[in-house]
Amino acid sequence: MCQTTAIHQNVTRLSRRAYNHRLDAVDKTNYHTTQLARLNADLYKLYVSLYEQYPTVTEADYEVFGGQLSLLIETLKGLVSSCQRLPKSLEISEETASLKRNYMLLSEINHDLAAFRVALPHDREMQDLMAQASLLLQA
Amino acid sequence: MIRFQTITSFRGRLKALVEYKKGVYSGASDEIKSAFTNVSISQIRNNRDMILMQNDALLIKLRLPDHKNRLSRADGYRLIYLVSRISEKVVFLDIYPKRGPMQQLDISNNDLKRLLAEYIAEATAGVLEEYPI
Repeated sequence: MCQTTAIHQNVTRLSRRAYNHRLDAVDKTNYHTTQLARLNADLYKLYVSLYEQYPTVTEADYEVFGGQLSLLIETLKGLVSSCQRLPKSLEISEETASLKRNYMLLSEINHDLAAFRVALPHDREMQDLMAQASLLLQA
Repeated sequence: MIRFQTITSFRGRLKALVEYKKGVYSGASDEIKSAFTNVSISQIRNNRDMILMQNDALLIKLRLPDHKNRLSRADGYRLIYLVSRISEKVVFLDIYPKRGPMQQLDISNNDLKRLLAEYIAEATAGVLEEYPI
């Protein structure tokens, strides 16, 4: 069992912040690289925390925060696209690249949690394949 | 002594990476070698990025750095391998980069099944190839 409640609250907070960033990014003149840098730092911390807890996350844990995590990732995808359209004069391209990296890291860990921790253990075909592979590895 | 083996798909993927133009991924083989040199079988089995454990087999996704392009483990390569909990046998199934022109974001469950089926077919036919570490 991982720190489910703490992760859920953190993901929810970051989802709200990312959404507000999307709104701010529309108002091009009022958006600054320092705002995005702070968000990036917290997104990376979330990734590290999820990665550290990955081995102990259960299906029940993922049920608590998985939906919100997927929502955060969708919001980040939109934010990346909004930031890529901002004028170069805002000098935000470096932070936009970091945002894209964080989006990709969170997408991967979300995929791994949903696919490997939740779906695969129930997949009969996979279980059969692993059982056959197990016998062959001993040969 | 730990025995490292490969399936056909893995060899094709690694060759494509290493031979990619301008040598973008030419360090892939070195990263594999470096990750498994002087490493015990228990370290190979105890990887936190485990995908699945079933009977005596472990399916693992290992994060490898890409020193050539100055990329960390998070941004480097992903190596998918099968390892026995009893025998000292490791089978490399797939490798893909997280960055660059051959970038792959993740691996689907269907791809994992295809790789396992390929391992089963090739192990049964006795056509797996040894991988020198």
